[in-house]
Amino acid sequence: MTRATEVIDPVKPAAETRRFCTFVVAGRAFAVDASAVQEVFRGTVTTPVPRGPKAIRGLLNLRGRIVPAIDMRKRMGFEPIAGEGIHVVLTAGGETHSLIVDSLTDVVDIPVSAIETSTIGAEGEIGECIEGVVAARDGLVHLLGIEAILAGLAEPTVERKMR
Amino acid sequence: MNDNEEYVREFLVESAENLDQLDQDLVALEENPRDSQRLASIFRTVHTIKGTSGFFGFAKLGAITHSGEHLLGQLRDGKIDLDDDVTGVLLTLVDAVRSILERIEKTGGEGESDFHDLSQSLDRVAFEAAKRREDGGVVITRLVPPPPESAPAPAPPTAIEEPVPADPEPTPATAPVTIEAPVAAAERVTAEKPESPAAPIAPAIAPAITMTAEVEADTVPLSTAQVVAPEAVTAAAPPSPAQPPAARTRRPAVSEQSIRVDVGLLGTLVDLVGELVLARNQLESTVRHKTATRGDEHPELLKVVHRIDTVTASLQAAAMKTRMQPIEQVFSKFPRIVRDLAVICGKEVTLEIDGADTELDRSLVETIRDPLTHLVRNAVDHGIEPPEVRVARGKPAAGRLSLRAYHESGQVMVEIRDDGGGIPVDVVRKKAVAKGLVSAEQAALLSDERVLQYIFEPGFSTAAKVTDVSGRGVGMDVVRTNIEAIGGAVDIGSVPGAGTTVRVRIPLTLAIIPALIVSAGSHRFAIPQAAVRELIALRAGTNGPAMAVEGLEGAPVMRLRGRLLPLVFLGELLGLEALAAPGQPPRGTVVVLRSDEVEYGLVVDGVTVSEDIVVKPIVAVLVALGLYAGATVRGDGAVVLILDPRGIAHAAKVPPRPASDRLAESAAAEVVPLDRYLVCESPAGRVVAVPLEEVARLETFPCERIQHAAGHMVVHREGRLTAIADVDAVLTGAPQPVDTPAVTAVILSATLGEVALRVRRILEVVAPEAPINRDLRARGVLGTIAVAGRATEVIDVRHALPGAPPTTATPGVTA
Repeated sequence: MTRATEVIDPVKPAAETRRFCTFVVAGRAFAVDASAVQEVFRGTVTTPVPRGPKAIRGLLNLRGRIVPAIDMRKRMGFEPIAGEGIHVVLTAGGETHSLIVDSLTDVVDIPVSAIETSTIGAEGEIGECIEGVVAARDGLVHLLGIEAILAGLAEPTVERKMR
Repeated sequence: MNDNEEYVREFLVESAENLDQLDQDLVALEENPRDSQRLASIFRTVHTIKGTSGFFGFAKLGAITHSGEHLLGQLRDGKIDLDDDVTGVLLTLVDAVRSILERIEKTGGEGESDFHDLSQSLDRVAFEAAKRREDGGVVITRLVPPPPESAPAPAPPTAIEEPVPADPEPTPATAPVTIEAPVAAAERVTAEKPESPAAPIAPAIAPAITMTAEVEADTVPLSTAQVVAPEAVTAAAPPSPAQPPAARTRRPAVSEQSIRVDVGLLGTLVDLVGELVLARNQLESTVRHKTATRGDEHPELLKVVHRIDTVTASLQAAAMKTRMQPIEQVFSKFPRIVRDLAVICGKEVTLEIDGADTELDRSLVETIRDPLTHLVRNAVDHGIEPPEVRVARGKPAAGRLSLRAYHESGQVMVEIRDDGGGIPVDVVRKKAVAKGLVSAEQAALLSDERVLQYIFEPGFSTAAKVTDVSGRGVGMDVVRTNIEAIGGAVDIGSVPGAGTTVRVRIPLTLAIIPALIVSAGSHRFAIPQAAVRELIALRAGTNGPAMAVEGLEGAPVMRLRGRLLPLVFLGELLGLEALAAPGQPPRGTVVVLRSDEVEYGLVVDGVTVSEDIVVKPIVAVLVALGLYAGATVRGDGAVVLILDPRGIAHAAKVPPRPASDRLAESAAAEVVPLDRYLVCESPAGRVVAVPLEEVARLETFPCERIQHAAGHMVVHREGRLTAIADVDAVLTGAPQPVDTPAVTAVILSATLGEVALRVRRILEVVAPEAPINRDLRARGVLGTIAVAGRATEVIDVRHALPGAPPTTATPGVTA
């Protein structure tokens, strides 16, 4: 089923691996833990949340469940693009969220030993979300922490406009 | 031992239910000690717990239930009489069992508590009660039982699954041992069958095993002990074949009728049904659209769509039913609470429970438990007088406390009525004045009913002395807050010397609530209707002083009937696009929202419709915004956020209303009643008014739901048929045909039932300065009021229907 190829370091045998779902946001490669991913679909968001976190593009009706959709470009500080996106629906901590990404790449098994967590080197909004880095043949894949993505949401990002 | 853990959990769940039943049964038995069936049921329950505790090796549980069972056995066999001592010790047993079970649930073990004393007192009570009997000369049987072989006609093992017969059964084999040497009961039992414990089982479990062995000989042949200690069982009942634990069944009659289902699974089911409803709606509109635009007639297709429609509706109703639970879940605790309390307070109380099978949403059952318990405690502690006082007043010594639950117009009503001394209204009145809640002059004018409302003010107690149980009034504010938090209401009535009645109104479910859909810019929001007091059209300066927006130190307010109402502009608060260009007077509708703490007007662009919405949770990060209470999915699949009226007031910094203001206002309303009217436009374009106090709510339904019956237009809503009043037919004699895809209606609550008044649209709520002119009236018209200088007819709800008065068909009639 899974093509566990490019990113595996050939020197070390794949002792303990984690499965990741990889995708592209603003031209860069990212990945999230595949076990949290529920489904992936293409679609639009209809209901914005006024005064909500700016990264939340709106609410989805996922078979009767209300799911907030997080614009990953906005969440990580990239220039947002309008229109449809790919929704990666994840469940973590009993709640379901959807990450809007540019395109989906693959599902891969990555040996735990290949995950570099000490020298991430990214700062700012993107840095908050990244838990680790894996060197793949065609560049770095940034592993995103779901909790970290969600934790950053809670910051008040919309200034209160009061009379 | 995962399997074992699962069985332990099952045992805990089952036992918790059984214990509640025990509480009830024991109190009922006290009332009627001759109720042999009830006694048999108690015996069976204790026996079951004892048997199962033996299976799992819960020695303490086994020991106390064993002693309890023995006592019950004596009772059942008529060897002792049920008196206060016996009931008391049995209730203590139930509490002890409950605490051990809780301990097991938390830690997996029985804990360190020592229940030896309890076993002893159980045995002592059995012994003493029997002795009293003997001393009194009413010796029925010797304490030393006959050997089992000579037991009088023991029931054959096969018949044992039947309810335990009322007639005496052979005394359990261990009974004499316990009586002769109560302290050593457990050891002695073990000693009787020295070879029975299986080697790996700790000695502590030994008595339990022996007990379960008795199970064989006594009532339940499907003992679990067979698996653990086959030797013991074989010794006691060789013919029984060993059975796997999974095959354990008790009370087969019950288990066949109901099964346990995971709550999460039921939630999923309800969600999926909701999805199906949406898909059904889309299917219907697609088919209708095709038929209308292309003229394609597909009778077969229409038939299928109709069938899907009816099946979906039934499925939805059934799915919603799975969320419902009988209020008995709460009521079942009360006999015990009332009994204990009556003993503490030295009162005699007869508790009557009616309508325990009334169902309400599962999530509400827990919420109402504490408020109702508080009200029941209050009634016993402060409502019902001590026996001597009652007798002196010419009442029976035992007070009556009645609990009644029933469904009324889509809500659950719970009535707590006592025949006690009532609330001293004059004391309340004086206290309200003393606390500065109302002036002495105003207080004198207030009706008793209104004065009683002060009971719900925080810290308002009229109890001469506050007991450790409750003080009348103490916590009544909490009761009201809790009930109002779920959209309910509390009402109190009292007749001095004759008693007090508290009525609690609870919504059927929190999952579906009536809501107002409003718009602000391009956004739509839902507002829970429970918080909505009235709607006012905001028209820039053209409509007299009541509608003008003023600025008060920068905060917009509106003058409403002589009072200043703070305004919150929803679009502005949420940072939505501006409603009107700067400098332009604001337009829109003011939704007057009121909760206990605040009252304010929320200015929205428009009110779309009032409908029942399914409340869905939103993620924590959105709840934390404090603005939204949840979200809902509308018929077209669109997600709409539900506004949290309290949170919005907080975000907009609306000042809380002082308590005195609230009460002064209600006092003022009492002294000078102010009539308010809902003004709307009839389908034919006539402007008419209806008294606001008769308006239950506003609704819109598709015209397909309108049917004709007995010359009336009726609509099927909330599971029953509601007659539709056609104002134009009443006023002009010319019925107005339904020519719109949806019908907006004002639901009026008339004494005979609800009536839906068809309107084209709602205009506003007015409070005319001059009272209604009743000279200007006709059939169906109560009188005339002036609305912005125009004469407007006030519809007489009772005669708004052509022909017969409004009727409401019996529930369950489906179209």
